Formats: sequence, structure tokens, C-alpha cells
Amino acid sequence: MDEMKPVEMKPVEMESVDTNMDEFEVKLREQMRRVDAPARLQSRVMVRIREQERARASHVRMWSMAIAAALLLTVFAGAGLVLKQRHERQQAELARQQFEVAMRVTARSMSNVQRAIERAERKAEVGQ
Amino acid sequence: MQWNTQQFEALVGQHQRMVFSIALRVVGEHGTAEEVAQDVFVELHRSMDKIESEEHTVYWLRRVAVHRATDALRRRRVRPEATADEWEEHTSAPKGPRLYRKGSIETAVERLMLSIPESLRGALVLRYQEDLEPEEIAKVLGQTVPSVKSNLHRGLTLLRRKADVMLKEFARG
Repeated sequence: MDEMKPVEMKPVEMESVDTNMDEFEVKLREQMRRVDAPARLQSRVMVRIREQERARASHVRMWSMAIAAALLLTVFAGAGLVLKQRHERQQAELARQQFEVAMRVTARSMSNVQRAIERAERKAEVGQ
Repeated sequence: MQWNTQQFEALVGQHQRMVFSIALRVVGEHGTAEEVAQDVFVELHRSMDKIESEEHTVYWLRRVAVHRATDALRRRRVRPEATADEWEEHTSAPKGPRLYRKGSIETAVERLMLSIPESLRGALVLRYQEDLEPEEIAKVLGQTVPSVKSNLHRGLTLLRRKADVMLKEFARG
């Protein structure tokens, strides 16, 4: 962080009168010197700035909490979604396996039936 | 520029006379001028990341002080703006509240300042209080140099005429 250096103020020199100014302007400049600020100005400014910083910090904290809560909700919702999808995948896999078993049973049954028919046909041919 | 609280407090202490004086001569009332000065410094604190140098700080403070003081004056109508024509009709001393210590060295010039249109005050304050050249005033106020010169000329003419009237009133007793 840069160190703050004293600002070189342009002095309002009353003695070094601009030659372009007439007497009225010179008097005007003399009477328009800077006046002292109220003694409390600096402290009031700093109070307001500290209040502003506190308010900003509180605002940041509130937003941080809101963001954290939103993130947590997102994580929970995401986890729920993942679990649901996994459950659905498991269900689908189970159904697929059951279907395969059923198909195998059916195929075996069909095969048995086919063999029975063939045997019956052969017997019939022998009987003739 | 990066500032910590102590540095900023020192900065306020350094420039509070300038900012308060600009605000006071534009709005013409201590309470409002102090509020304006506070607002200017609070705004500076919020804008510190845009401040590039110490000279920029002074330029920024002068610019914002004049603008915020003019805004406050318009908002509160501490003293309604008088046109040059209206002003000529009002040759007596301003009838506004007494804003300064009676008999203080500022009284006469402050009363004169309050008698001129608010649109001319900023340029006059920057010229005679802050000792800026018209080119610098134009930069601070965001106006053209001819416009600033015209405002200074008009303001000075009004002040001269008003001062003459006050002097004559004083001579008459």
C-alpha cells in the first residue's frame, strides 16, 4: 500500500497579486480566504465512514450467509437428484436383469416345448 | 490509491478547510455547508479506488464540493436563485437569515456572494478563494473556458454593482 504523502496545496498568496486583477478583485480575493471548518467536521466524517464500513461489512456478511445457504441448498438438491438418479438406474438395471431372466426362462421353455413337439412328431412318424 | 482509516482521517483534516469553505460560499449557510462537506468526504471514501494521485484528490474534492453544494442549494433553496435582471431590482441588502458573525471580515463579501445567481458562485469561489485560472476552473466544473470567463465576468460585474450599492448605503448611514 502506498504511503500517503502530504498534498502540496496551492497556496493562496495574498501578497503575490495577479497583475491582471484590479483593486476590487484583489480585495475580493483577500476577503475570500478559506475559513476554518467546524471542529467536529473531521470526527463526524470519520463516524459516518465507520458506520458505512460497518453497514457494508454487515451487508457482506448477510450476503455471504445467503450465498452459503443457497450453496447448501444447491448441494442438498444436487445430492438428492444424484441419489434419485442412482435409484432409478438401479431400478432400471434390476428390471433389465429381471427381463433377461424372464427371457431366458421363456427361451428355455420354448426350447423344451420345441423339443417335445419334435419328439412327438418323431413318435408319430415311427407309429406310422 | 490505497488508504487506511488513519490516512483517510489525515486527508480529511488536510482538506476540510478547502471543502467546507467552497461549500459555505456556495450554499451560504454553516449547517448545510457542513453537511455538504461531510457528504463530499464520505463520497471520496467510496471513490478512493478511482483516485490516482494527490493532485487528483484536490481536483476531485473541489469538483465534487462545488457540485454537491450547488445540488444542496437547489434542493433546499436556502436562497432562491436571482437572475441578473431580478438582482438589479433588489438593491437593498439581502434579507436572508444572518449567516455570519455580525461585523466579521467575511460578512460583507459573503452577503455579496449570496446575492448573485448560484450558477455563477462556483466559478467565483474557485477563482478568488482557490486562486484557480479560468482554464483550471473550466476543467473542475466541466465547462468550456469561454463559458467560465463569461460567468466570472458576469459574477464580478454583479458583485461590483452590489458593492457600490452597499457602499452608498453605508455612506448615507
